[in-house]
Order: sequence, then structure tokens, then C-alpha cells
Amino acid sequence: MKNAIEIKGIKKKYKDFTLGEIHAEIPCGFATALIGANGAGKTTLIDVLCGVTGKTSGEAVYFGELTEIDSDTLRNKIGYCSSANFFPMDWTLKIIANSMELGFDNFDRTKFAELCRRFKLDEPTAKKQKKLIKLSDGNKMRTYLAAVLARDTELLVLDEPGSSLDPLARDLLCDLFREYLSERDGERSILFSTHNIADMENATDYAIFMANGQVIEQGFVEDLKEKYILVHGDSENADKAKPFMLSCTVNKTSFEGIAFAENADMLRAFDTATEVPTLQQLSVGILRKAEEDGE
Amino acid sequence: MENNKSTLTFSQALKLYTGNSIQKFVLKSVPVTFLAYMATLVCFHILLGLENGIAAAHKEITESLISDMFMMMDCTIGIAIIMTLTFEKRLPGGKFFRTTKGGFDTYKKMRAALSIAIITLVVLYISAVYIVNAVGIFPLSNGFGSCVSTAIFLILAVGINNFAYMIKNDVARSLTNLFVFFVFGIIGILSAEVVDGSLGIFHLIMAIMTVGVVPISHKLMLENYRKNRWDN
Repeated sequence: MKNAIEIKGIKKKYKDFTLGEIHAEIPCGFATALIGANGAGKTTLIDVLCGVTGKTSGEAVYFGELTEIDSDTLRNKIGYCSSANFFPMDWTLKIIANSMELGFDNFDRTKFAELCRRFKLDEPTAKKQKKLIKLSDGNKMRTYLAAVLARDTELLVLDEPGSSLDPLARDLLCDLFREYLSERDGERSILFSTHNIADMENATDYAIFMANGQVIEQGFVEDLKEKYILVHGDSENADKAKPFMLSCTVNKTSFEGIAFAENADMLRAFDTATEVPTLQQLSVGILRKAEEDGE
Repeated sequence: MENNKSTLTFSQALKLYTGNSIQKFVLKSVPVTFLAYMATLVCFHILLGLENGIAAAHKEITESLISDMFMMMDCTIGIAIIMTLTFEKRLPGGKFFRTTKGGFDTYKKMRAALSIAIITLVVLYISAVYIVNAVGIFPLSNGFGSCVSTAIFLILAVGINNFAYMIKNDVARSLTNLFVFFVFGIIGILSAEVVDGSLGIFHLIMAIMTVGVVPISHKLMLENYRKNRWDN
């Protein structure tokens, strides 16, 4: 399978945090979610991949051949958007459009205006325009997304695009992801980070889980749902089931957690029920296990 | 690392970063700085005039270095406002700018455009102040000499302040900028006063030094910025 990005041992050292070495693949033609708790290293990895931050070591191969992120060829192919303050706060939609047009070869003003309408923002050509600082966090993020989606790119890299959006806007974002991918089937890809996958689950094909600066699990969502199972049962059986589970939450009457699918038969013997986990349940289970291991 | 050449002009690079071209930048900053100068002098006339009358106030202001000082101070504030523009990664827009075409080369062009805008601001503003002086509205104590000397020293201060860009702390850098501008500005005015406005060899040497210091410090500032802040 072709990869949009192949990450080969990327490492970034800060005084108080080290990312990596990261080895991961972002498959071409799909939406990949980078899932992890706050401080897991998602933003650092995205910044390194987009050339916003320099790396200490390692390499990333883009579209199977390109390695130099500081080249205009790659800059034009990648649509990057940070989680907050992507543009100066005194900018308006008109200034954003002017700047995007100068900054990239593939910015489409007409598409930007159309996306502004879809995101229920003002017209970018309107005479009286609000500065970004006067917009709510949600509308700021809508503006950033409209700007980045108005470019004809091959890869979208979005840092926490859904975190400040309301449910309707998140739903629209999922639709836009699908439209973006289907416009050039198999040629375009999306990488987005999130610490709350529940609202973006429908838009996720591939998942990369991160904790403490490391990738701890990755794969297609369908494969992960076969690899892991959701287990629940009465609390009296929790102690017996725990050794066969990856992570487990116990309350007064019941317990629930994630286990490898290969342990399903064993777990059923303890009077437990198993089912296919959602991506959200998988995330909680896998990240909790990483947190416990890290303590 | 590949050295990516920016295809943008200086003015386009400035527009990408600030939303304004060089022309628009100058058109906005020169009138504002000039009006600030005029307003300061008018206010001073009113304040001094309340006690002794406007004519006496006017005499006091024009016979002392007050107009010259205000010319320098208002210009300093105008330049300092432009020089506080920073595009750090952690600030709004910082990450966006790092992903635009041309990368650091575009940043370099934007910085060059800002320097051009600042020097144009100094020249045009001081020319306007000179005209006001020449027509006798607000005469300067050392006239043309005061204007040229102040312009030379303020532009030299721009060059010296490029070194201050190596200071990472924002507050410390801004204070250093202001301090350097005021010290150099005052030297500019006093050096014109010492020679009664007849500029000589000292000012010629300073002008030549300015021509050398500004581009050299600009280049060093960019090298340091790339190494310590752009690539990090």
C-alpha cells in the first residue's frame, strides 16, 4: 500500500520532553487519526511533519519519494492547520485570503468563499469584516479550516480540528473529510490529531495511538476492532478477568475494559460478555494501559 | 537542507506576513507619526500658553530643543511599534508563516521589507517635520542639521537594534530597543546642537557607519534567528 507519509525514527528532544523515536505510516487515500492524551506528543509530531519544528533525528518520506519538507513542492502539497491561533488575531477573512494566495500556489478564492458559507462565516469579500479576535473559538477554527480546505492539496494535516467545534460543525467537518478524500479517490489523505475521538469516529479509517512521546499502537480501525474486544461483567468476576485484560475499570456492580481478542474464550469462562469496541472505547483502553505502564 | 528561494517580492512577503504591502505600511505609519508630532507640539503650546500666552510658549518651544526632542521621540515610538512586530512560532500566525512557500527565504524578504519601511518612515517623517520647520510653523532649534543628524542616528539605532533581536525575552528586547533609540536619538540632537546645526566630519563618519552597520547587523540577526528560533 502507498503511504502519504512514512515516518522513520523521527526524534525531537526538548529540555523536558522527548518525542520518539517514532515509526509510523500514514496510509494514502484514508483519514488517519492521531489519538493521545494531552502532552502525548501529537502536536510536536505534526509540527515536525509539517516543517513547523525541526527534528533532532530521523526522517519522513512523503508520497513515497519526497523527504525535504523545506521545499515548495511539499509545502504546496500539504495543507496544515494548527489547533489555535493559526492566523494573527487582527486579521479578517479578506486579509487571510490575500495572505493564503501569496503563501501558496493552490489557494482558490471561490472555494474559500463557498467554504465560508458552508461554515456559516461572513463573506470574505464583505466590506465590513470582523477581526479574528472578535470571533468565538469555534468560529476561529471554522475560519482556519475554510482557509486550509480552500487549497488544492494532497494531504491535510490538522491539529485538533474538532476540539473547539460544536457537534454540527464537527459533523460538517466529517462530511468535508469524506468529500476531500473522494474528490480524488485514493490520492488524497488526511492526518488529524484528537484527544476525543468520539465525535470524529465516523471519519476515521486508520488510527495511531500515542502516549509519552511514543507510538503505542497503530492500524486500520477495522483491524483494531478485530484485534481487541470490549469485555464487561459483574464486579465479582473482575479479579479473575483482570489478568487477561489490557485495562479495566471496576465499579461497585460491574467492570469494563479492553482485552486482546485472542483471550475472548478465556474471558467468557468468567461469565463475561464480549463485544466489538468502538474506537472511543479502544482509545480509552489502550491509552489507560499506556498510562498505567508509564507510572 | 535545501535552500528554498522565495518567488515573492519584498513587498509581497511583507503583505503575506502583515496584510500590508510596503507602500501601505509607509502610507499608514508616516501620517500617524507626523500627526503625533504635530499633536504633541500643539498640546505643549496649549499647556505652556495657559500660563504665559501662546506667543511666549511658541518662543520658548522654538528657542529650546523641545521641538527637536519631540521630533526624535515621536519617530522613535513609530519605529519601535514596527520593530515590536514578531512572528515567533508560539505567537498567532507563527506556525502558518513557517508553512508558506519560500519558507525562511520569505521571512528574510519580509524582514528586509520591514527595514525598508522603517528607513522610509524615518526619511519621509523627518522630511515632513523639516517642511513644517522651514515654513515657520514649528521651527527646530537647529533646523536642517537637526533633521539630518536625527535621521542618521535613528537609522543607526535600527542597525544596532538588529543585534537586540538576539535577546529571546520579549520584554527585555523591547526595553533594549527603546533604550537604544532614545540614547541614539538624543546623541543625534545634541551632536547637531554642539555644532549649531552645521554638520561636519563627525556626522559624515556616522552616516558612513550607518550604511555599513544596518545591512551587516540585519544579516547577522537573520542568521541567528534561523539557527536559534526558526529551525528549533
